[in-house]
Order: sequence, then C-alpha cells, then structure tokens
Amino acid sequence: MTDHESDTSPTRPAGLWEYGVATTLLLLGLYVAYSGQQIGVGTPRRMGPGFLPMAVGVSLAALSLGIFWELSRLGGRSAMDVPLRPLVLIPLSMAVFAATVGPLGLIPATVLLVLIGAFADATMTAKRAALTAVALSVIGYLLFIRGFGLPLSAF
Amino acid sequence: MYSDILLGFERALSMDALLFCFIGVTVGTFVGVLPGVGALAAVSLCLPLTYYLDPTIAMIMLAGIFYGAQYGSSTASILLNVPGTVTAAVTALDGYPMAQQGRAGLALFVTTICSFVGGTIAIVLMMGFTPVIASAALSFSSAEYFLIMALGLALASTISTGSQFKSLAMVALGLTLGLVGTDLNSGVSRFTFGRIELYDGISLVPIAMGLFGVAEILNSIGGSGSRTPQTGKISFRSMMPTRAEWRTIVKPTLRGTAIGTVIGALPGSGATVATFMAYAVEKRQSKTPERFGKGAIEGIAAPEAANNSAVQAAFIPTLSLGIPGDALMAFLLGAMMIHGIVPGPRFLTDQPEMFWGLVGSFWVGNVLLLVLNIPLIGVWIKMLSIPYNILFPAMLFFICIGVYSIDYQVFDIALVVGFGLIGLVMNHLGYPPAPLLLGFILGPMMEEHFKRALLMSRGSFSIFWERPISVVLLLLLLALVLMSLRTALMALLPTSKPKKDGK
Repeated sequence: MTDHESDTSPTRPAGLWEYGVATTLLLLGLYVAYSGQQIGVGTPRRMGPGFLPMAVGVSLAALSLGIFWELSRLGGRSAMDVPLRPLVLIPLSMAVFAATVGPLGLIPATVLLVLIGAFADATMTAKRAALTAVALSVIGYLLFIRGFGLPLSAF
Repeated sequence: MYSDILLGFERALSMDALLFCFIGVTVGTFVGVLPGVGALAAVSLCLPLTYYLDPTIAMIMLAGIFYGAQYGSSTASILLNVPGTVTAAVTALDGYPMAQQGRAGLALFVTTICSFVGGTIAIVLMMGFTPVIASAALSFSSAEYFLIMALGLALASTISTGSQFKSLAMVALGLTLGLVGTDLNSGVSRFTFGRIELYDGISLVPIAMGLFGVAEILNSIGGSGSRTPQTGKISFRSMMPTRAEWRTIVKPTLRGTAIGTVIGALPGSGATVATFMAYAVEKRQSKTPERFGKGAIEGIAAPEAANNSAVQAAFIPTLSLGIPGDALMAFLLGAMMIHGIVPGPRFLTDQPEMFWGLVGSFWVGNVLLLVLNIPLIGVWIKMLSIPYNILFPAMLFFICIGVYSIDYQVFDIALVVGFGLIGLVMNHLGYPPAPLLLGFILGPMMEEHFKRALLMSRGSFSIFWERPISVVLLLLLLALVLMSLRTALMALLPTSKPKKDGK
C-alpha cells in the first residue's frame, strides 16, 4: 500500500496550480450538476438518471469552494516543481506503444516504448536501454503471446 | 459450516491454488521489497491477467500480492532506510539503526516472525467474525447498505491527514467518474460524450494504473539513485534472536496484533493508522522509551505485527459487508465484481468455497512467506540493487500491455496516461488518490441501494431512520461529518493563526 503522502504542509501562499485545480473542480461540479438537471432529476419516488449527477455535482462544487477558502486562509503549494523530461517522455512512450502495438506488433511496440520511456531518466545509458528493450521483448513474447495466448502478433 | 471450511481448504491446497498463491506472495514480496513500486500498482497490473483464471484462484493470487507486500516492505526499510510502503516507514525508525549496528539479520528475522504471528492470529479472528457479521448483515435492507457505504466513504476520507476538503472532493470526483456510462435503470447514457468506449463506464484498471502506477513512476524518476544496502553479513545464526530477545518481543507482538486487528477491521482505517498507533503504544509502555529510534527490537516487533494483522483483518468488513476499508480493499472488491461476484453479506453463503478457499490460501500464503523471507532473504537483498531505471521501463511495459489486453482498446492506454498526469498533480497538491478510488468503486453500488430504498418506501426519506440500525448508522455518519467539519473550521478560524510569509 503506497499512499502518496508527499509533504504538503501549507505554509506558503497558494500558487496558480492550487487555484487552477480548485477552479477546475468547481467548474466540473457545476457542469455535472447542470447535466444532471438536463438528464432529469425525477422525483424521490421515481428517481431519474440525473439525480445522482445533480447531488454529486453540487457536493463537488461546494467542496471546491471549501478548498478555495482553505487556500486563501492557510495557503498551499506555491508552484509545482516537476521535472519536465519524464513528464514529456513517459506519456510520449505510452502513446507510441498505443499507436504501434496494433499495426506493427508487440515486439516493435515494446522496443519503441522502452527506448523512448527509459530516457525519461537522465542517467540512462544507450546500452542499458537497449538491453532492457531486448529483455522485455523476450519476456513479453514468451509471457503474453506464448503463455497467456493474447491475440497479438509479435511483429 | 465445517464442511465448507474443509471444502475451502481443499481448494486452497489444490495444485493450481498453491501455484497462484505462490506467484501472488512472490510478486507481493517483490513489490514490497522494491521502493517505488506499490502494491496497488502491482495488483492492478495483475488484474487483467486473472481474467483467464477461475475467480477463486484469481482472488487468491491478488490477495497474496497484497499481504505479501507487507512482508517484503520491511526489507528495504531496514537495509536502506527507504520504506517500500507507508507502513514500513515505522519499521525503518528502529530497523535501520539495528542494521547500522550490524544487527540487520536479527531485524529481518524478527519482522518476519512478528508479521507471521500477527497475520495468523488475525486470520483466526477473521474466520470467527466474518460469518457472524455477514449473517447479522443479512437482515440489512437497501437503506442500511446505503448508510454503511456512506459511512465507509466518510471514514476513509476524513481519517486521512491533510485537507478534509481536498479528500472529500476526491470522493466526489471518484463518484463523478463512477457516473460515466449507461445508467442501468433508465438506459440513459451519462457523460459518455458519444464515445462507444465509455458506454460501459470507465473501467477500474486504467484508473488504478494511472493514479497509482504511472503517477508513481513520474514521481520517482530522478529521485533515488542506487544505494548500497546496509547488510553486513547475514548468516542464519546472525538472524536468530537470543532467548532474552525472544522474551522481549512476545508482548509487543501480541499488543501490536491486537491493535492491528481492531483498527484494520474498522472500515476507513487501514494498516497505516494501526502501525503508527502500535509504535506509539509500545513506546509509551516501555520502561526505557529513550531506546526507541535507536534500534529497539520492540520498535520493530509491534508495528510489524500490527500492519500484518491489520491487512488480514481488513478482509473482515470487505468480505462480510462488501465495505472496503481502504483503496486496496476497494480494488479487490472491484476485481471480484469484474469476475462476476457480488460482494456483500450473501457472498459467504453463496460462495462458501470461494470464501473459505481464500481463507485457506491465507494460511498457505503466510507459511510460504515465512519460507520466502527467512531462508531466501539473500535473494531479496540482491533485488534491492536493481537500479530504478531498469525497473520503471519494465513497469511501463507491464502497464501498457496489461491495460491494452483488457479490451484491446488504444483508448484505455490514453486513459492511463491521463490518470497518470492527474495523479501527479494530485500528489503534488495534496489531493489523496485513495478516496477517489473508493468513491469510484462504491458510487454505483450506493446509487443502486439509494434508489431501491426510496422505491421501497415510495419516495419517503423516512426509510433512512425507521429502523434502529439505520438510526445508529445515520447518527454515526452525522457525528463524523460534524467532527470533520469542526476540524476543518478549527484550522481555518483565527484561533490557529496561519503562518505569515513576511511580505
């Protein structure tokens, strides 16, 4: 069980990200509530499909107001310090896998995934990335195509 | 009932059950040992693979990962001072100093034995209590179910540290995600934006893999370099406690087990709370509290017993009521539903073979873990030297193929990426992911029970306070909400002045 309890003790004034996320939640809540109302809330006796969206949307919007209040009172994270490199390369590698696993087959998709994704870590060497790609291709072929018999082509 | 128990143990001892139990606990130990790979990520990686298995075997394997990780997690925290899981952070407090003093072998042995004792006592209690609770719950109507689930959600989201608003908002976000798809009662599709992939709703695996797998990778890259484990020599002899040491750990282990079982069985408070509490109690109990944090053997015995008993006891509410205590239990519940099993009090009477088979496998699994963690400890220590930059590409690969193999939809991989990025933002801004997962899994069930209750009462809300049980549940729920509002307000109102950054 790995809960993510990164240190978020709010000491500094909250930054753009904090307010941005709270605003997103507020808008999402309002949108969900509005759609619920459109779909049809119904009556207590015969509840419509829009009842729960309405209730959930209103709660989400109300809670995001609570978050706003808390942020303005207690502060929050002033900025997000996330290294850019993994943020770009990890999603990119997964997107490439998604795009190639069908047309090209499992092994080319795996090789591309590893060769792009592994370099998300700046200390990665070409040799290590290549070896990892080969090893995972073999494991993937044996485990998923031979072992579990997934209907995927190797190439 | 005895014939059911026998039947279950027979199932647990069958060849395929033994094999998959072994795979489960081995994978669990592996992810527990390795810092940066969580049990939830591992369980969600393995879930698609279990679609091909018999449901009982699938649950045996997934559960094995879960409790196996608790055993494994102490290794890295003792040898590296890097906890594999949150609960193991407590073990590091006294375990790492022991390793520095050259007593690593002893620390590893004690944590394993205490884990085993804590785990097995909790299993016995689970065998006793689960059927009793389940049969009491058989008389529950939809109104009570709705209230119990609401209570579970409220507990799980308000006990967490950090902002109450943020964690409650994550419950609401989880409920929102659970809304996506076709409404079962009316056939109206909600929030599908015309995408066929969404008509059946978002599936559990991309959410869990994104929030707990990809987000974790994004968080960990560049973090920990390679470290050299603080091993010294680990021979079998160095692992054995002396007679005096045996005597010191007996009582802490039992106290830890008691705390773990009680806390673990309550919905909403999992192994983390139990472990910290066990450590605190032990320190207060001790005549020499100053030794804690400097390699006190009681300081690893009690928390380890507590986290393993909590993990086993967490199955009590999950299997008897269908109310998961934490995100992992919620995930296992979701996995059961994917396998077509309806969780709840009827589970035990409808699927006795599966329930008792699972319980039987816990015994098997704990014995296997004893073997894996004492004679084979050297193997796991070697694992610690695997660099993270080999590990995370492998995780990425398993995530991609795992999620793709569910429905062969590229869309699901896109969802994982999306939830990974959302998870990253949540981690950084202090939005806990566990309440989201709980809301997502419990939401649809709650809606169902809510509607059914109101249908039965012909639209009168009084059904929620007509029966004594529901009144009690409702009062508990109200008390909890008021309490968390009070904490939130206390933090905000002028009494506790917000720190000012000198302008």
